Amino acid sequence: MVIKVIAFGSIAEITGKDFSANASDLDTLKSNLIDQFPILAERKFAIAVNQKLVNENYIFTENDTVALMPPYSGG
Amino acid sequence: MASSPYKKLKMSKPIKNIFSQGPIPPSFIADSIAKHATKKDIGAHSIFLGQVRADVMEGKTVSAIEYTAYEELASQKMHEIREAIFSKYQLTCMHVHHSLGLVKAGEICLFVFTSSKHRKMAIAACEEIVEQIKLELPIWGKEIFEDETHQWKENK
Repeated sequence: MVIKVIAFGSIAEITGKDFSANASDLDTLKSNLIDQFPILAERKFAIAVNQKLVNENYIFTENDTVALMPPYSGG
Repeated sequence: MASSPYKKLKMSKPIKNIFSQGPIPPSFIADSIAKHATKKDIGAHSIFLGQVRADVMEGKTVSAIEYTAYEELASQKMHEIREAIFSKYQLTCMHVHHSLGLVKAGEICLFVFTSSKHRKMAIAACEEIVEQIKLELPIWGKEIFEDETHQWKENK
């Protein structure tokens, strides 16, 4: 399943701002990303799929957009 | 039962954009206050302004913050905050502006403006909005030091 990944803040510095990935579900994507960028294992980040925060595993459908979001610092 | 599209349209307010590039000019804030002169049921305004602070960390001074946001999600979240605030407090109006891009130390990066008949509602709503913005909106501030190194800010 090809999905779109967008990353923000300090996470984007590690992974790049946006890229495509191939994964069937969120847990697989996360472990693939940690294999590729081991430092991610030490970083705190929230995940949104199609602009909704997701706390558990999520089965992807084609063209889903996954956002990797480090702790917020607006204001 | 057939649903009425008209009713649905009437109920959902449009999602407002809160972002603009660069610092929020003091003149914009003054104009915003002036625009409320025609709304004569207002008896109280409450304003919060966030200003970029020249923090010193390990001998290095912050010269600016560069803001980025997940704009679509931030606007959606702000819409939800707005709806919740309007149902909790009796406000006449509410305005929120947040900077994107570079804002130098001493410049304004956040402007929250609430108005109501009496002071208590405006003050309480304004404070709650600021707290919600810091907690809920996907916005990131990159603190840029005078030597051009940087670190990522984290809200506490």
